[in-house]
Amino acid sequence: MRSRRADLEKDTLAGACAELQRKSGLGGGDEFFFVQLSDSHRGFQGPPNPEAANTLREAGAAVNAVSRQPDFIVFAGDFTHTTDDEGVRHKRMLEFKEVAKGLNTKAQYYMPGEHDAAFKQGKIYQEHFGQTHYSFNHKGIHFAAIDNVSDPGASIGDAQLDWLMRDLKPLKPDASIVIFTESRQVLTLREDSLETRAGVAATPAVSTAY
Amino acid sequence: MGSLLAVLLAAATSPAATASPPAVAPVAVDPAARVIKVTAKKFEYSPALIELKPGVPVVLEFASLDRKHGLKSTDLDIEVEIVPGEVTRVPLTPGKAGKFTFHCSVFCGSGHEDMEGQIVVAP
Ligand SMILES: [Cu+2]
Repeated sequence: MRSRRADLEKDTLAGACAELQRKSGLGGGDEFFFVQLSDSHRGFQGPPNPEAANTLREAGAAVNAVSRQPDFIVFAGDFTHTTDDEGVRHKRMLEFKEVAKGLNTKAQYYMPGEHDAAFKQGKIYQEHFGQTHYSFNHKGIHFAAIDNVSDPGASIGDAQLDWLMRDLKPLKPDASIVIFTESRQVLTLREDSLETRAGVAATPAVSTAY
Repeated sequence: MGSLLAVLLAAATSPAATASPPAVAPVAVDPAARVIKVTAKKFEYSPALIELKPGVPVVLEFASLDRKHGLKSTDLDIEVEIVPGEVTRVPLTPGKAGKFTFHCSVFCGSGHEDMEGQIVVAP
């Protein structure tokens, strides 16, 4: 079992909730926080995640209970566990959406994980959740979600990279950018990079979350 | 299975890291190199433990028994696809002793995350 999933401590949820409580006491100004939820793996059954049917609901309840609500919630992939049965896949996604509806924070962004989208290159995922890459601005920070899972080999692909370059091009050189990807990804933006990347203002700082 | 809840404060501005392109299949095959056949199927490699000696060239020959898989080892700078009906050859001369893990890099279903193996290099 790969450490990425297996080594997670059991008290992740409790620790994160305490952190949320702390963050909810943020000062004024432009400070904000958001919540990232991922890997609920709806439909999974087995020892590494015996509570897959309940964890998302519990996490949602924990977020709902925080005094100051997050500005938005990012669902960062693997909401559902993969299955070759299309009907079951649809069912798991519908169940996930039902739980997500119960969250008090209505600003929600979705991005796929391999388990959601590697089957049929994301076709079924998109029927439920729409575009797999997009961007938005929030309080001076530019957020972009990149899909590196609809291709089972984890390629972003030229079309999407071109989109990202066009998306980032208008930003100022000192812009703060957060990029979400499901699988680890290193993105380098440089003035003198490849042709398709030329013209990006400078070297914006890029943070990734996965 | 997952980090269910993570909280991020959206003010992080870590410096952009440098991209390293994935390693493509290395140089010419040494005709004297020992050939080690490895099969891949959902969700295992066989053998999953490959024992090599430092400085002794081998050729790893990967074949899939069911669907497309991959093999990636960051430590050994290997990243290949293993496609049914094809043999993927990876010439390898281990530089130093150690234990190096590899895993499947093409999502292949429930159990993909467990598909891994180890190359042990010892004198
Ligand atoms: Cu595989």
